[in-house]
Amino acid sequence: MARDPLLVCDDVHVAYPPRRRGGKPARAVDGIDLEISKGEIVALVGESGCGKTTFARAILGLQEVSAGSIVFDGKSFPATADDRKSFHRRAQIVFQDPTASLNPRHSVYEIVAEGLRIHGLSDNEHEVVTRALERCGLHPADRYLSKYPHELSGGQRQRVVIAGAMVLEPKLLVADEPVSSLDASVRGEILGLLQTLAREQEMAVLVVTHDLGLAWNIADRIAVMYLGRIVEIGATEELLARPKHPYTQALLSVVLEHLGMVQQILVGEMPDPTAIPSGCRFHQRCPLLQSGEAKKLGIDSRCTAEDPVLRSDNDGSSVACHATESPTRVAC
Amino acid sequence: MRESGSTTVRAMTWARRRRAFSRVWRELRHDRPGFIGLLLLSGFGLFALSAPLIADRSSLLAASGRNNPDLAAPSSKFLLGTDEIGRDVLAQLVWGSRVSLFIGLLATVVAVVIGSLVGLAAGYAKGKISAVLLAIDDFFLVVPFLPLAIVLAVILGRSPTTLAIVIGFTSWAGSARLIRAQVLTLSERAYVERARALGAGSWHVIVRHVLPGVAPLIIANATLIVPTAILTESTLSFLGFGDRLSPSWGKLLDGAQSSGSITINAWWYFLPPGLCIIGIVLAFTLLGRALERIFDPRLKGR
Amino acid sequence: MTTPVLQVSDLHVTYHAHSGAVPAVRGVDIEISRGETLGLAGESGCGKSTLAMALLRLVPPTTQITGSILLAGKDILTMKPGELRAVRWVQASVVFQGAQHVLNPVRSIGRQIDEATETHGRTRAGGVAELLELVGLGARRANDYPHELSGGQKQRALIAMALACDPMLIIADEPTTALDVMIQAQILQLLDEIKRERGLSMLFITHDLSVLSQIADRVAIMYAGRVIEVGAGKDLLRDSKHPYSKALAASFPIIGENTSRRHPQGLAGDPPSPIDLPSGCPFHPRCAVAVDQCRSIDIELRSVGNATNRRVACVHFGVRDG
Repeated sequence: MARDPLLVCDDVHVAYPPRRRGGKPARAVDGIDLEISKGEIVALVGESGCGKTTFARAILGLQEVSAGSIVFDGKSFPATADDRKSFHRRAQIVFQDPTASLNPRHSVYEIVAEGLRIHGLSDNEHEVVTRALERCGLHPADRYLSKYPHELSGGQRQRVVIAGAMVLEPKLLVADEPVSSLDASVRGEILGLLQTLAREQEMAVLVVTHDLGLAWNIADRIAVMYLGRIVEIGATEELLARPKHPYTQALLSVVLEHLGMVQQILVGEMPDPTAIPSGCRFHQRCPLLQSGEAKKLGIDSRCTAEDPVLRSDNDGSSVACHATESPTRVAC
Repeated sequence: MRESGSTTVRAMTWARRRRAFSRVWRELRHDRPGFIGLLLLSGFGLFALSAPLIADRSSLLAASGRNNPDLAAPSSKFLLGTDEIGRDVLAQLVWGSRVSLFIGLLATVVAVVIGSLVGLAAGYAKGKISAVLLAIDDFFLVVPFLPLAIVLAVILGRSPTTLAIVIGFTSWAGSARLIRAQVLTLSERAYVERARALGAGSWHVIVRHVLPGVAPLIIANATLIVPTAILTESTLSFLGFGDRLSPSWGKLLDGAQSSGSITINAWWYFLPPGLCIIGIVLAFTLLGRALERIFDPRLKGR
Repeated sequence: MTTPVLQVSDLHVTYHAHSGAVPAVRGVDIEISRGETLGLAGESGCGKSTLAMALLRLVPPTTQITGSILLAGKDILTMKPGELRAVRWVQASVVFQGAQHVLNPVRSIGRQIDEATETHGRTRAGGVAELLELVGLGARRANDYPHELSGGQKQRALIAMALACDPMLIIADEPTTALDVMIQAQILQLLDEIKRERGLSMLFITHDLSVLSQIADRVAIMYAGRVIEVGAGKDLLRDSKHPYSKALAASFPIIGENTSRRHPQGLAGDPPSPIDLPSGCPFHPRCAVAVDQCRSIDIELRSVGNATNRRVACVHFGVRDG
């Protein structure tokens, strides 16, 4: 799987200090292990508030990590300002809302060239910018160079954002909900672009999303996140065909309702990261506990007391659930 | 290739500035109060520029009024009459407009420079620096400003330049607040985050993203500081802390008051400078508010 | 045949903006019978939200609305303001999108629901408590303020408010858009239950076709201010005829279906702006199967083959009605 790990995250934590005196810190990211290889597309899937965006920002050094280590391209996380700058050349981010991530006062040319100028790569600026725009599907580039963001459609704006990242030829691109603010018909084109870029540039892509369908579209592997932690990770086909964690199963059942799958709508909402439940963080909403199946398996006391670790299965996937450790249970 | 690249960029930047300028001009022309303010201001500007044509500088000297009647009513010789020592009031008014405008503008430059630097730093830096700057800002916001200005004027001297610096130094606190708030919202924008992700340092972020965003606000705010500065100068001069040798409008009012022209109803002495002060304050305020409306989209449609 | 709850014919809605007239809805016919849910889908700018708001004349006063909107047989467009007020909320109510902007932040949920009923001089037997229980919030939440509720809970409160006067039609404008899948599923389930229990009719507006497969009996797809395809919910989504509906449906991949794996599908180009519509069929610049005719003629909705209620506005399908 991790034939050539480009990014290795080991037990990464991000905690926000408590809002009020005496309050508890919000453990937005609560111990994440994740490896991403060259040219691989990994989808990080979870609901809003699960910490996926915080984790993405932490990978890029836009958010301070409170514990754990991130090794990128063989080097530990940059400590000095110079390291950091060269790190930023090789890891880029695409945000959810292309309208907000473009300065309305800058032209397309200035926006795409911004990264080059920051890094002092002024040789052939015009040519590099033109090429990046065309590679991102805006051709002929000349027609777009002097336009301003408000003159472009949502899809075109997101292409400009991606082109602005691509001029630096990054090895890792983090895309945070890259299509969720775009129209449905434009979505496929942008995802196709990400996929092509990953393939052609051997660039690793981490797509942060709430949408399992998107993951099915382009991801090689899927990591499902719940309340600050990855609860299941595996190859896309395998994970979506045979989800092992009850949370993944529920998520999938909700989107696959029309295929005749019985919907497992979880009760309640995800708890606050300031109050992560004891034991398994999912136990209060877990259908296995509610249906009494956990009791049958004799694991119900462990579910409420013991935090399950992410265990690798022999098929290369990993799950953090006490039930999967028990040999008697057949995955559904 | 590289050459052509950078020239096109420069050309584009200029084209954008031209467009932005013509947009502002178009909107200002359709903003009636703002346009009136601008006309009024141009009038005062011309008035100040034409001073040498209207009266000779020497007529400001005390000696020049020796042969004239004291406190004479307006006549064909003295369009606005004379003061208590026989000097031409019009001459003083027109030369005084230069002093008042000079002090108002210089004070504004001083206030805007200090205010912008403090505002930018307080908004951009987090933690202790910001807290200290805010505390200083708070001090200048609440300290009774006229006594402070008087004390400084007495210590530093009374030339128009020092007066302007004193006024500027005591009136930057409000704009610092305003600019800091704008900087705070700007630095939360996703495009600032994007620049950081591209590897940009603080300097790049401030120069490329934050400053251009606050510049319009600074301009509008500056236009509103000018009238306050002119008023302050008039107040200081009226209270006797002005420069004896350069007759500002405030100085004229001071003279009118101390010579008792108000009791004998020598209106030509106190009314013109009074009206001029009101007029210039009105002009700058109308223009400033209009610029604020044009530059700040949140105020549009109100 | 019973009168449909809602019958809209030849509806045109034109905004007047600074830049001129914006024809947002250009001749729409829809019909909803008792107990039926019509899903109205399309991308941003296709006119679906304008249509929804025009149904109760909740549009800026300068907006021009023509055609007819019969709600239980009475034309909304010819009503006097007083009559209109009596109909709004009592016969038809709206569940808006973006619950956080619709709720008043300084009033408790209970008060706000109360207000909805009081304005219409109606008091419910069970009152606010019953409504809150019905939407799964629990009666004790009546004293909570909007900021104390999560996104899903606010949406529930809005649904309670929409139900306050026992309307026969609910217009739900993207009610689940900002919500996570799980919460979205909860809300859809709730709406479905309420609808069944009370025999409510519903117009469900969304950009998300996958939601419609769960809730809509019939689906209408809009493009550039017009309905371009209408038909029974699941059939239409599984087997769309119009090239646009096809492409839109393909943008929502079915997990497990190999055609969409590593092959995200979409449409090149962008939806047209209502002030600058292409000639003929407004979809032709993005259409892969456009022929010369499409550039000049905008086809009306026509029945397709032997399908009972499937109608498509495309030159490649169907024969002219009647």
